[in-house]
Amino acid sequence: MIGSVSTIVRRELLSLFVSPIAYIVLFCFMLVNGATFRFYVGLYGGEMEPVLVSTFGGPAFWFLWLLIPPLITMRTFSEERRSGTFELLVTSGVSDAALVAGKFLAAWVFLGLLWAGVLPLLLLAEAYGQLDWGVVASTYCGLALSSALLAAIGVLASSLTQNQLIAAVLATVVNLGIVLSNQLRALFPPSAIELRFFEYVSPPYHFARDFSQGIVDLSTIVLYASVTVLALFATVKVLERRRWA
Amino acid sequence: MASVVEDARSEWTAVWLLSLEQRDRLSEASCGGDAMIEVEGLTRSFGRQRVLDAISFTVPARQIAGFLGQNGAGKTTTMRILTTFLPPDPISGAVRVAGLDVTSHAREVCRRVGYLPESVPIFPELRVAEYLRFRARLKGLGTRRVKERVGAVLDLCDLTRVARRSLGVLSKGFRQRVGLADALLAEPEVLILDEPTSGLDPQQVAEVRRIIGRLSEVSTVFLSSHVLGEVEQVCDQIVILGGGTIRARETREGWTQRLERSGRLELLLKDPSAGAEKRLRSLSGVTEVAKEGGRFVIASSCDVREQVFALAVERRWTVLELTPRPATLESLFLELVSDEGVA
Repeated sequence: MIGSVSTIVRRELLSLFVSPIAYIVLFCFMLVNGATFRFYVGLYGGEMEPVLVSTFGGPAFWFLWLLIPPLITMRTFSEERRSGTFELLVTSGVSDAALVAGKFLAAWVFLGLLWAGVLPLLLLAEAYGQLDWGVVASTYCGLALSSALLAAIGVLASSLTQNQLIAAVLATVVNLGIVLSNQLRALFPPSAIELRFFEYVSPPYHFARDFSQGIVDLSTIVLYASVTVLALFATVKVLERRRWA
Repeated sequence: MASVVEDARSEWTAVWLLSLEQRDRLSEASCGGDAMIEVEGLTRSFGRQRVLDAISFTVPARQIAGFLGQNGAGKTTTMRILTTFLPPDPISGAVRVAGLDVTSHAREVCRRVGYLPESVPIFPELRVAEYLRFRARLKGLGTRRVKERVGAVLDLCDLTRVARRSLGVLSKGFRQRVGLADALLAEPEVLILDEPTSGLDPQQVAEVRRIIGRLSEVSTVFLSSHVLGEVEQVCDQIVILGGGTIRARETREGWTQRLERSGRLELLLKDPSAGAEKRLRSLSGVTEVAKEGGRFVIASSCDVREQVFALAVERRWTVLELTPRPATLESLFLELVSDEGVA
């Protein structure tokens, strides 16, 4: 199982890096992050705390957060099924679970690499002001958790269709719903139980309340991990079901 | 209402138990025999459409079996079930490869089967050797074995000179050979090849046939093809599928006899009398007499050459030609797969 998963991860990453999509995504990601980071440094002067909060919680961050993962995951199963390579993978003795795990891990690793690319900016910024590395660590913990969730959603969307574009749109719509759930908080009075629900499930709220404050709440970890596992489980079931169609 | 549910449940249980019983019976049979592919009462439907209807056949170890049928006959579906890609219907009969049930031992079956799909799907971004290494690792081969086997299949399929080329730029012939090399990587006990020579030039076809011939010394080969001559030439057993059912299943010798039985006799007489056709038709065993360009074409269920000769002597006909015209696999195939041709 582990051998099959690592073989699939390697193949997926190789395929990503030999296709132009990885480089286009990397370029756009670094460009947007570099420009916004430069903007916030200029805006807040030597104050590093608001720079960090804005870099990992501003509009550009959420734009990248919801748009990039579907671009990475859209081809995972759609392309395999369209080209027929899915048949080869399944008949080589690899279990559906290993296949899903491999594709998910590859997407997660790639998203991790993207966010790791922001670290040099932070190192550079430390020359201008004091940086709280505890907050950086908690923010990256939040990024790792939310990236896992988004990769799992993207892989699930890709398993539902043979069309990459539909897979990307589907995942983006779901991601958008997750981000916008934060806005629904405004509809409820502070004491309402619904408000508590939306606070519990809203990643923007988690970033604002916990991760950018140096806090990693166990309930948040459980939430992200369980939804990720659920999405991956659903992907395995979708693959099994496809064979009956 | 409750009794209806109960009845339905007991009916379902009965069918399920019957299915299990069938599997057990087949399991016992497989222990005694050396059949590598055993299909008994296989049924598969897609929605309401029944693609395979209780088909049964076996392929003994180290034999080459050819699977013939028109497009949409269910060949690829059968092969996909044998390779575990598709499951059979839940109340279908038993399907075993190397003695293992394809549903309950799917992964073990995969390890023992090498599969070449109809149109070889590839990862265009990978190089040939890279792709084969990836596939070998996926099939569970250890690091040393990966190197050893990739080298061996590259040699066997004459791919060494293109080992570093991207799959995306290879011709169809080379892709087909890469697919074959992939199927051979894990030294499978059973090879399932869906149209292995489609799209190849005559030289490549001959080469692939030679490879298949060599492979049958160590593996059981089950191949489908549209090229009847190819199947006739390389297969020990031929299975003909039509409309989701097995129309005929014979060994090569059986086919030869069947072709002889289904043959025609051509008779050319000098000035044939008006009643000649009627007299020929009255011979025992003769099923049909037709006149084609002055010749009588006699169809019969047995060898009637002696009777025809004796009749000609008796009637004082001058025989210019008496020629046996054996049936071709093609004509027999068309006859079998036509709606009336259920064997």
